[in-house]
Amino acid sequence: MLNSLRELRGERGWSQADLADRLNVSRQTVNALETGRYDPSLPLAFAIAKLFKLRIEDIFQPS
Amino acid sequence: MAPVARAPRRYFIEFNGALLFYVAAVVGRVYAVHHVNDPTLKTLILLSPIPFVCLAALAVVRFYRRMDEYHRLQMLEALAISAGATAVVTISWTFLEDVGLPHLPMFYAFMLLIGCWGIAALYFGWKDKVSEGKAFSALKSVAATLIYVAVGTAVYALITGWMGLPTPWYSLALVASVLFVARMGSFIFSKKSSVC
Repeated sequence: MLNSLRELRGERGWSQADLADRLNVSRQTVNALETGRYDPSLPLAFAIAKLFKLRIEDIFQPS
Repeated sequence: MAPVARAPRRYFIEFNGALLFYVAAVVGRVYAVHHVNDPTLKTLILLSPIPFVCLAALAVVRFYRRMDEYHRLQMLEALAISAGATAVVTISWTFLEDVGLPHLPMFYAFMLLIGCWGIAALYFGWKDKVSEGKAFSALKSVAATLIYVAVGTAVYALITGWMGLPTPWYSLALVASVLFVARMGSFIFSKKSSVC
C-alpha cells in the first residue's frame, strides 16, 4: 500500500520518534510504515487516522 | 516515553536477572552436590535451575506481549526461520548418524533453535537499520552483539575453569545461544530518533 504518513508527519513537524510515541509503537515501525515495507493492521490504521483526524483511505491508498 | 519503547530495557533486566540466577544455580548445584548427603535436599539442589528457566521463558513471553505488531511479526518470522533451520539440521543429522556421526541428546536441538532464532532476529534488526541508511550503525550493533556474546561466553568459561568444573563445548554453545537471546531486545529496537 502507498501512504502519506511521511508528509502528514512532516506537516506537523514531528520526528518519527514523536509519531511513534503518539501511536505507542516503536520508531522502526513508523519507518517501516513510511517506507512501505510494512502495512499496518486495521486497529493501527484506525489509530493513525484518528491521530491525523482523517479517514483511513485519505492516508492509505492501494499501490 | 510510550510503553512499547520501554520493552527492550525491561526485557534486558528480566531476562538477564533470570539468567544470572540460572547460572548461579547451575554452578552451585555442581559444587553443592558433592557436599550434601541428605537425599531430599540433594534432589532440590539438582532441580534448582528449573524455576529460573521458567522465569527466562516468562521474560521472553512478556517481551513479546509488550512489542508492537511490526516487531511481533519480525520475531515470529525469526522463530519460523529458526524452526525451519532446526528441522533441516536435526533431520539431516539423523541420517548422518547412520554414517558415523555421534548420537546427540535432544538438548542440542534446543540450542540450535535458540541460536538460530537469535541470529535471525539479529539479521532483521540489521536489515531495518540498513533500510534507514544506517549501515554503519547496523554494523556497530552487530559487532556489539557479537562482542557481548563472546565476552559473556569467555567469562563463563573462566568462572567454571577457575572452579575446576568441566566446560564442554556444548555448554559454551548453550551460553552463547542464550546470550544471543538476551541481547535480542537491543538489536531489534533502536531508540535513536530520525526526522527524515
